Amino acid sequence: MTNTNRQTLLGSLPTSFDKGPDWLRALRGRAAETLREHGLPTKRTEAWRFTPVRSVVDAEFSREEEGVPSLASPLPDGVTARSLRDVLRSEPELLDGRLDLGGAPTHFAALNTALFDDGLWIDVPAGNVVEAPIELALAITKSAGRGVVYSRVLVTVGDDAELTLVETYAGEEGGQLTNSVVEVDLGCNAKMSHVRVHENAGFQVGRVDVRQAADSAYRSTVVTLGGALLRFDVRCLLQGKGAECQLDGAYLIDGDDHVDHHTVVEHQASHCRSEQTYRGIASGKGTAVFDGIVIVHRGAQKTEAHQENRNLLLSDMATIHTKPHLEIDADDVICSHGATVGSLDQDQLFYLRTRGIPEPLANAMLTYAFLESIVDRVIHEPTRARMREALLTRIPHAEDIRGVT
Amino acid sequence: MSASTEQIDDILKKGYDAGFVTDIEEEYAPPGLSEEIVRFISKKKQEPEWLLEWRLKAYRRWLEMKEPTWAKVTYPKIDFQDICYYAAPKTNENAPKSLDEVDPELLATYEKLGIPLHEREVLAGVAVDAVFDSVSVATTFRDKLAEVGVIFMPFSEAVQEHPELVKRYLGSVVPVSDNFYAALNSAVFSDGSFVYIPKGVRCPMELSTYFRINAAKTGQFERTLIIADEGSYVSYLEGCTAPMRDENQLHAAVVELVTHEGAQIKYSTVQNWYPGDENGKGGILNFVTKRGLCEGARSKISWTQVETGSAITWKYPSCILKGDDSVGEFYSVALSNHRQQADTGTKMIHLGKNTKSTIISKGISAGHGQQTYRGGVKISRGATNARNYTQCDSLLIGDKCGAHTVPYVDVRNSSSKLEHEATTSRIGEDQLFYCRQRGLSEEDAVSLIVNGFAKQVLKELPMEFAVEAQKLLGVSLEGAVG
Amino acid sequence: MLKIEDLHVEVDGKPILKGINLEIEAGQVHAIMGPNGSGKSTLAYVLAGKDGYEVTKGRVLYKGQDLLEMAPELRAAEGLFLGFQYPVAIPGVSNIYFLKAAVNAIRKHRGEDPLDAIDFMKLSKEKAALVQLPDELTKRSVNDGFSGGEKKRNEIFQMAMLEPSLAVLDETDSGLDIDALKVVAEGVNALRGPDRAMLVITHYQRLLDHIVPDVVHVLIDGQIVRTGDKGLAMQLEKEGYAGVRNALQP
Repeated sequence: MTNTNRQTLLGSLPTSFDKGPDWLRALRGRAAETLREHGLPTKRTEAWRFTPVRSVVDAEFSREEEGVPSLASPLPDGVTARSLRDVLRSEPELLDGRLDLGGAPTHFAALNTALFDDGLWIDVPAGNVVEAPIELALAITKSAGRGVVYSRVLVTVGDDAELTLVETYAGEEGGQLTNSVVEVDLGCNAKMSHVRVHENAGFQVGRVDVRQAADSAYRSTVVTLGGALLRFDVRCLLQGKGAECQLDGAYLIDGDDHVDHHTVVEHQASHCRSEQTYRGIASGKGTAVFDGIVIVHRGAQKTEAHQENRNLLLSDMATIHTKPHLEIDADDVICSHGATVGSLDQDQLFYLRTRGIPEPLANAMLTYAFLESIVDRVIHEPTRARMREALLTRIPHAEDIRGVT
Repeated sequence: MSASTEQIDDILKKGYDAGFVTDIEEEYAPPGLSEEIVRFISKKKQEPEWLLEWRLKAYRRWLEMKEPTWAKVTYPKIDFQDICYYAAPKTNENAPKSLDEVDPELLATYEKLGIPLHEREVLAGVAVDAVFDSVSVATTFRDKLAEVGVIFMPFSEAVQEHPELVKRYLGSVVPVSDNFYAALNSAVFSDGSFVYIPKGVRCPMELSTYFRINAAKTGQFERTLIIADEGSYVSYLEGCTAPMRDENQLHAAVVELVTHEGAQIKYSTVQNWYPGDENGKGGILNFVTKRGLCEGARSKISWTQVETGSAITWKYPSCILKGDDSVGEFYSVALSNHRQQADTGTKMIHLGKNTKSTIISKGISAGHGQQTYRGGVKISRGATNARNYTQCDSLLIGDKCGAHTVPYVDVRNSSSKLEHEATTSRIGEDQLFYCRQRGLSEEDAVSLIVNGFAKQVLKELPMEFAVEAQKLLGVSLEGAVG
Repeated sequence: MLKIEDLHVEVDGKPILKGINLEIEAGQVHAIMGPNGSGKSTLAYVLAGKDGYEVTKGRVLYKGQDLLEMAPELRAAEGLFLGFQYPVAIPGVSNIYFLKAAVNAIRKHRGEDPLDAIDFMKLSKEKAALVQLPDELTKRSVNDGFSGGEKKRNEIFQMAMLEPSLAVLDETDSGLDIDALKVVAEGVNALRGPDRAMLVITHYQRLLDHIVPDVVHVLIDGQIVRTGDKGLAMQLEKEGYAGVRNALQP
């Protein structure tokens, strides 16, 4: 890797786009335009106020090629997985209207739209119920220089079809920046379970955009274990009547980790339901941020939306920010949100100790239990087991729990 | 007649000598804001040099600041050069001479609110005795208060009589450059209240600012400063129950509270500025900065507000919990009907050990009203064992209104505990029908349900205020259902 | 007192009541029995004036006036009381304050002066004793956090306070254990009188052992299929609704 082809992220934007179908060139052009006009986030950008990215914005990166997640499991019947680059070359019309499906992107997602070179398109045709999960993995390698990777995945699930997708982004702490965008398009009555794991994912800006038709159900479980600087957004657009989404997340940070999870749920149709539960633990000098918005649009009556964010702060050098908010423009709704930040419950600790459990183990048990309730929702058994194991390794004294649970 | 009125009258008689072309009968300084206007205001008030410098510093900072846009409110752009920054009380010639001359609709509102007759005269701006009655009532109290050492007087008088106190505390809680509107207020504030409660004194009566209501016609930039010295207590009421008939009008007040060790301030507001008409024409643009500093250990500041008026409300009464074991409370009911927009909440900043804060916010939206709770809780590294409990509930009436909840939470101490809960729901048709089956009209039923919803907050108000606030909620919601 | 003539009612375009005829005189207690979904609660709601119930045919005269034209609160003021099957909670509004507002709204309608606080408290203590409603419950928010039995007792307490001319009691017995049922029934019986009529809607015959009706109607599929005296209720107890239904088969 030589320094000669290094550029800042904005500096790497071409002045014009001349490859691919018209509509793609228009999308890329619009994204580049937005970036030129508004730039990348600063600390004044509301959605980024707790996650400073100036060092990323100002830094120079070299473009890395390997941005396509690899299939880590055999492809089940009834699913196709194709290279985005190939489809865009051979049958671009298949993808028209399915990229940037959540609307015009900004910031890093715009950068991804403007610059992604290849990616994956996973398609489940209408009526296909795929039981075996599809596993995707993107290994984040430690590069000597500073590289940037643009990763793009499109998942389309047809009417009445079902899919389970497990994504793992793992790697070593290193200078590489991963900018990933996953887009999910769910047809009527389609169901999708989506597990996403970040393990020491280094510098990462990730985003999942979900568009849901009537009666579809999307269930997301995110587990983030460490991250030098990780920002992850999930956004669900409930566009069809009766659609449902459930967004769960767990994050565990230590050292100098900085992890920031955002969720946006937009109720655009009536009779939709959404539920969110995020739990996090911050220790060391780490910073954990949670920001969740539920937007109920005018006319989205009979909405039910709930959101909860609970945090354990285990060190006086760590910081937790939480900002769950509701924007409601319809009246026939049941909405609630709750947030807590605290340390372990002293009464519970005391109770365990009176039963003879040594304090370090009692601490570990309660800490583990706090996140385990989310990890438990990971629908893919091998991943769930791996996550439990990872928790046991990462939580101090939790090794001793193994004999207990 | 109080000293302040005399002074202003004297000033008016003197005429201008700051280069303004105007004659002595003129009530307003020319529109626009400049360093000269700031000097003019200061001079009119015969202020000492340090205060003029303070105002000028604020003005210069204001010039560099931008109007905040983060609140969820929209309103026509304010032309700050088109506003008069100094207006002496009107001569009484144009004011109504008796209630017979007052707009009957206005009187009907007072009737519904159950405001006593003489108070109604005050509110309607009836020129004659009532106004000065009210002021002199305050001065009568002042003598009684002076016996126990409590200072309660217009701000401008305090500047003359207790400059050392004013100088020590002014801007100590809300610095001049705190925000755009606070800077503006610091530069041009007209008058307001000053309260000092000496060590160990429990103020023998509730202090009320009803007397300021008439002055509100002229003073859109009040400044209030309340200091509770060690071990003292005061309950302060601020009533803005004067519906005003006007164009959009800017109101940018600043309130600063300081409690020393073991002291307690209870600050209650019932705000019913003119909200504009059903179509959103007119109404007060209310941009207020209120903040209390719990300076001493075991001190306590409690804000209670009932906000039913104003076209735009932008207001976040806050507490800085600096002293160990200090307590901050915020109880709020905000109602937005028709085209009203309220973006309100609080900030609790925990600095000291064992500090506690409670936030109870009840937002009611009806018509096309928009309501945002915006609150911040910050627990700093050193705030060992800090506690916060936040509950914010929204009630929706009709399908054209909106309710938004935006809490910010920042915790940096592991022994602290914070809980935030929020719900949004609407008045149920079942509830309405149940009440009507028992013989209550639909409007009474709505008022009953709304008051039940707001009860947790209303019970924090002093008795007379609570009754008024309850009625106000009912009146403000008229026409919201059906 | 109440005269229902050929009443047809639809909910969301679906016919529920299909030609009800019923006449209740002052002093009488009528019972309406019927299986789930027969239209019992619909009848109660239509009489009280709830939205969402469309009368497609027929009329209802109450004290000689067209009941269906009146707003719910006007019906209440004219002395019509509905004891709800599922009483509604109103958080933050104390039971006693709620009742005072109701009593005085109704008194105002009758041209009477509002009760002052002392008279009101006296009256409420007396009436609360009638249904053994603990003092503590009168001070709590309306039905908020009440148990099923407490809610029903509270309904009868409210009825006692409002002294209606016509009381419609919708499944007042459902969800009550036998002791609570007796208390509620005693409360209702104490309110029986020559000027007052009652329409007791129930699923079970059990209630009618305690509140003995003058007339019993059986409502099935939106129509009154049988009318008789207390014996009819006993027969129903023995044979069930199926028995009555079979007996109706030609």
